[in-house]
Amino acid sequence: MNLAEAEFHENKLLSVLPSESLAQAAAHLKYQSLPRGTQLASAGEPIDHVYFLTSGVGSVLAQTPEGSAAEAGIFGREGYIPTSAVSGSEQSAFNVTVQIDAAGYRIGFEEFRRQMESNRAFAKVMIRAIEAFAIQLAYTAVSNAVHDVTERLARWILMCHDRVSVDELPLTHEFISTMLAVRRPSVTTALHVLEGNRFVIAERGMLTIRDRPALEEFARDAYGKPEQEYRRLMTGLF
Amino acid sequence: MRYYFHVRGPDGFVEDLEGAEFASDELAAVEAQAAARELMAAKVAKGEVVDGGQFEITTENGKIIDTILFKSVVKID
Repeated sequence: MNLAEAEFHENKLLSVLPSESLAQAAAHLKYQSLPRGTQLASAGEPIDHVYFLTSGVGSVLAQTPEGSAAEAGIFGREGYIPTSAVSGSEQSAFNVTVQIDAAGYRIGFEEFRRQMESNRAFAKVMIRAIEAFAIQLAYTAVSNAVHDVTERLARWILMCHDRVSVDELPLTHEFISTMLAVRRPSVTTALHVLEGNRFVIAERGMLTIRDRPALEEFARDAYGKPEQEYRRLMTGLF
Repeated sequence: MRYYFHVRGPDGFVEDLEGAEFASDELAAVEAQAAARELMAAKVAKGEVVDGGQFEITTENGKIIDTILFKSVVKID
């Protein structure tokens, strides 16, 4: 393996695979750098590859026929994408895009299908991962319905922070507004509140986490349940 | 053209660091009105005082081209 490549275990799903199961899949995993903006799948188009990120963050965007879009879910080193691949369906239902510079392993769609059929432990982990992702989406739906923009923003920042190893998140207000399905000034004013509480520092194109425990406390009800469910789903598998 | 929607209100000044592109002053004002409605709706939902805020729409060189009073976008009757 090239030294610049991340280890397989830097992706949580690959890390929980028993060694013989990982060995079976490993031959087909190819490391790739995935800069911000890389389209990993497009709505209505065939899925070429399935990705296991080892760093960075991507998002799944759902778009209405008239062109309104909002983020359905985010993923990073804890998952794989596109999750539709697990169904055997070759077509992606969503646009899947890298939002914070990423890297990871990819496997061809057909090979992913073969692994699902021949590698039981692999299939078990992928199905657990889709359950974990479904839980995240469900809680995003609840959050959109019951929490205000500032709480939702706090939740979303925590979710991004969980997936990167640093406190600086290169995010524009414009981008966050698409993710939260609000207009940009709502993000600017919500960030002002978080900044006023000294949880974050908001600069042009950069968001720095200053006090994560306080941010979690602020997000309260909006954050933590899917993360807890994820840990439950990924513990004691084998 | 890039326009900035700074917020001036009872709680102080919130600078828009990033701005956004619009084809004309008019289109920037239309978006600011829509954004004002969204901000007002959130304040109403939280039971906060809604009077007092406004957008100052400025160009890149800092010139204020328009101000949108938040309460001007709320239709009472």
